[in-house]
Amino acid sequence: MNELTTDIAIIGSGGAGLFAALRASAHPAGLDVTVVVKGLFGKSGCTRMVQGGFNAALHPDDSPEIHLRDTIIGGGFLNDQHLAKVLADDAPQRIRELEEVLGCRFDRNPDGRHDLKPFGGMTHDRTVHRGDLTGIEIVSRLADHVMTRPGVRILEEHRAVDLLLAGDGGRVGGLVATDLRTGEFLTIRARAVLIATGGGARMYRYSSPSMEKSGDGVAMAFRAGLGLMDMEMLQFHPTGLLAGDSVLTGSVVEEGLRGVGGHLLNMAGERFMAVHDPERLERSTRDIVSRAMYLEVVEGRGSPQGGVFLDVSHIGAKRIRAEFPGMVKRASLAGRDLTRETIEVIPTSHFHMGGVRIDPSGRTAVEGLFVAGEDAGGVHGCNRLGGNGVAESTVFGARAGEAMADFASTESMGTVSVSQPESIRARAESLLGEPGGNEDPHSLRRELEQAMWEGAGVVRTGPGLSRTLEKLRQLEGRLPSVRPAGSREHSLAWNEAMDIENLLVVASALCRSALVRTESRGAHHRSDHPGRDDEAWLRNVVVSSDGNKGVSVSTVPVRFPYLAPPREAP
Amino acid sequence: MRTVTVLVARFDRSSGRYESTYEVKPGAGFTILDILRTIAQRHDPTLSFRFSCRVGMCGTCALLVDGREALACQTPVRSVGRTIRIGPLRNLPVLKDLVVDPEPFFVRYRRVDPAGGTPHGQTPAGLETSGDCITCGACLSACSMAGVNEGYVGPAALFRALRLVEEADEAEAESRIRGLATADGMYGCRGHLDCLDACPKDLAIPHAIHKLKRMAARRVLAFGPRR
Repeated sequence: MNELTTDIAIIGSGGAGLFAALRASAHPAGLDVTVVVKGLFGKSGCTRMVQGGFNAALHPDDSPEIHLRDTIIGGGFLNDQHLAKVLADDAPQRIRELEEVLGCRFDRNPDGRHDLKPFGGMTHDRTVHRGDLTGIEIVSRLADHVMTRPGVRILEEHRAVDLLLAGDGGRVGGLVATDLRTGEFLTIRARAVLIATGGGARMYRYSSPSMEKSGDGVAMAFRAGLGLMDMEMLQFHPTGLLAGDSVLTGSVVEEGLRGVGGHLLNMAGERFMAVHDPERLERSTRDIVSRAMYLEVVEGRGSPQGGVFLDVSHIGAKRIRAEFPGMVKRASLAGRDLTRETIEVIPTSHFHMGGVRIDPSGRTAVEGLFVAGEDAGGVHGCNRLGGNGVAESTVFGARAGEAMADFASTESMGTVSVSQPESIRARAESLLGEPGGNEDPHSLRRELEQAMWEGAGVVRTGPGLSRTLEKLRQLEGRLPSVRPAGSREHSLAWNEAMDIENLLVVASALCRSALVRTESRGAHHRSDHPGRDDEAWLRNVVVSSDGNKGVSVSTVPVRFPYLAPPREAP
Repeated sequence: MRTVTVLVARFDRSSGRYESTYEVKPGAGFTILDILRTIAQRHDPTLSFRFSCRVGMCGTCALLVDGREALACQTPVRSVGRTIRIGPLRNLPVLKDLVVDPEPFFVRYRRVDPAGGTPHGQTPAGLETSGDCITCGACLSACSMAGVNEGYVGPAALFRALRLVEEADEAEAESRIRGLATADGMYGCRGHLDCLDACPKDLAIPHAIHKLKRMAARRVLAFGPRR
C-alpha cells in the first residue's frame, strides 16, 4: 500500500475543512497540510448549498449574548453551552474575515451595512447573505485561497475509509483512504486529523443534502471509540420537493414561499395548518409544520405522491418569478409551473444536530483527532436555527485548524501497528462483492432509507424505532453479500456499499438514542411520549461502542454555565 | 414517459474508447442525471459519471448532451429527443466514461491569481454582472480557442479576473489589467461567444471579457502600449 506522511490531514472540503486548512497552513511552524475529499475539491458537501445565510450578531441592537440566548432557547436547552457561546462570539469575526481577507461579497444596504435577514427563532435580524446563493460565494472564495496556498496538498476523489489509531487507541495516527479514480489504497500518516465530512442526513427516503454525505466521519469516529451525542436530533425541513423517482425529490423548497403567503393543502384542498397552529398557519415553526404534514399523509389525506400540496398561485406570477427564480426553475424540472400550479412537498431530512462530542477547539477524547461542522454534536441542541449551520462550520473549522497546528507543531507522530492499514483495506475490499453475491447495494440503500423514514422520521414511537433498528441489523447482515461491483474505478456500486456501511452506524445510533429519550423535544417527537419533560430529560444521550461490537447508551445531565432553563417547563 | 435510447461515449484505460447504447424508461420528471443513475443501477454498474448536489450548485455533473454542454441534473429528459447522446466535456482529459480530470481547468483558473487582491469589505457597485460561477468547466469545454491555445486562461478565469479588477484599487487594477492583456489572457478570446451558450448558470462571460478588453484599451490610450 502506498504511504504518505503529512503533519495535518483534513477530511472534507466544505466550510469546516477549508477554514481548517487555511488556519493550519498559516501556522508559523510551516506545516504540511493534506486535504482528503471524497468528491471534487470545494464541491462536495453542503456549505456550498447554503441558500439562506450566515448568522452573526452585527445589527447595532444585537450582541453575541443575545445570539447565544436564541441558540440555546431554540436548542431546547440541550446545547453544550460552551460550544454555543463560541459560535455566537466568533461568528462576527468570521464574517469580517470572509469579506476583508478572503474576498467574499455579501449583500449590503444603501447605508453600507450588511443586509440582515430575519430568520426563525431570532430576536434580531441576524442572517448575512448573498442573495440566495450564500454558500457558493463562501466556498468559492475559501477554495480560491486553499488551492493557491503553498503547503496544502489536495487529494480529490479520495474516500477516507477509516482512522489509524496509535498506541492503545487513545491517539490518532492517520487514516486509510481509497483513490476512487483507481480503487487503490493509500495510508496517510498524520500527527493530527480533522473529521469534517458533514454528517449523514441522507439516511432517509426524503433527504436534502448533497448526495455523497453518508455519515463517513461520524461512523469513523464511532469506530475509533468516540461517543456520539444527541443522535436522535435530526432536523426535517418541512418542504422537500416531491419529484417522483428523480433525485430532485427531497431537495429543499424555500421557506420563503410560505413566508410570502403560500398555502399548504391536503388532498381535500383544506389548509390543514388551521388545525395545528391557527395563529401562525403555514408560517409556524419547522417542527410543527413538518409534524402536521406528516399526520395529514399518515391519516390518508395526502397528495398522490404521498405528500401535501404547496400552492403559491394566488401570490402572483410576477412576484414569484422575481423573488424565487431558483424555485420556479426547480419546479419546472419536476414538470410543474410554480406560478400557476401546486407542487407536492414532504418533510425532508436536512441537518443532523447530533454528532461527535468535542471541546471548543474541536478536540475529541482521542488525542490528535479533531471534529468540526455537522459531524460534531452539541452546538445546536435539539434544533438548529436557520443560518447557524454555516456559522458552525466556519467558526469551528477555523478553531480546529489552529488547535491542530499547535498540536502538530509540538507532538510527534503516533506509532501505528503494521496490520491496521491492511485490515481496513480488507474490510473495504470485501464490499466490492464476490461472485455469487446477490444483494444489490442500491436496493439495500433504498430499504435503509425507507426503514428510517417509517420508524425514525418526523414522528416516532418506541415500537416503530425498535422495528427500524431490527431492520438495520438485518441490512448489516446482508451487506457483505453485495453482488460484484464490476470495476473499482469510479465505481458507484462500491461507493454505495461503503456509504451504507457508514449510514448503518449513524442510523443505528440515531434509533438507539431516540428509543432512550422518552419525551418530545425539538426535532425529536415521540407520539407515545408527546410532552417535553424538563424534570427528567435535560440530559444528553451518548451512544458509544464498547469496543467489542457492542453498543452502550448513557445519559449525562446538561450543564448550564450561561443560561439556565426556566423552572416551569414552557 | 416513452422509452428513450441513450448513447453514451465510454472510455476506460483497458478498453479505450467505445460507445454503449441503453434503452431506458424515464420516470416522470426525470433529468439526464436520473437517466444515468438508472443505467448505473439497473443496466450497467460499470458506467461512471459524477454528481453531488443534484440541484445545479456544485457543477460536478457537467457533460455533453447531444453535443452541447449541460448540467445533467438541470436537463429534463423531455427537453431532448427520444435518442440522447451523452459524452464527457471537451478540452479536459477523460479519466473514465463521463468523468473528466478538472485539473487543467484549475491550472488555467489559478493563473489569474484568484485569491489575490485587496478586498475592502464593501461590495462595489456594478458587481451584479459577476454572478455566481460554479467552476463546472462547461465554458472551457465549449471554447473554440481553448483547444488551440493551451496557454489561454479561459473564460471562467477571465470572469473571475474581472471581479478582482472591479474590486481592486486603481494601482492593483492597473497591474492586473496589464497582466491580463496578453495572447494567453484576454486576447486569447476571439469573441466567438461559445461560452455564452454553454454556461449553465447563464453568466454573461463574453460581456465580462469584453469589459476587460475595453478597460485595457482605455489604459493603452492613456498610458501608451507596453514595450
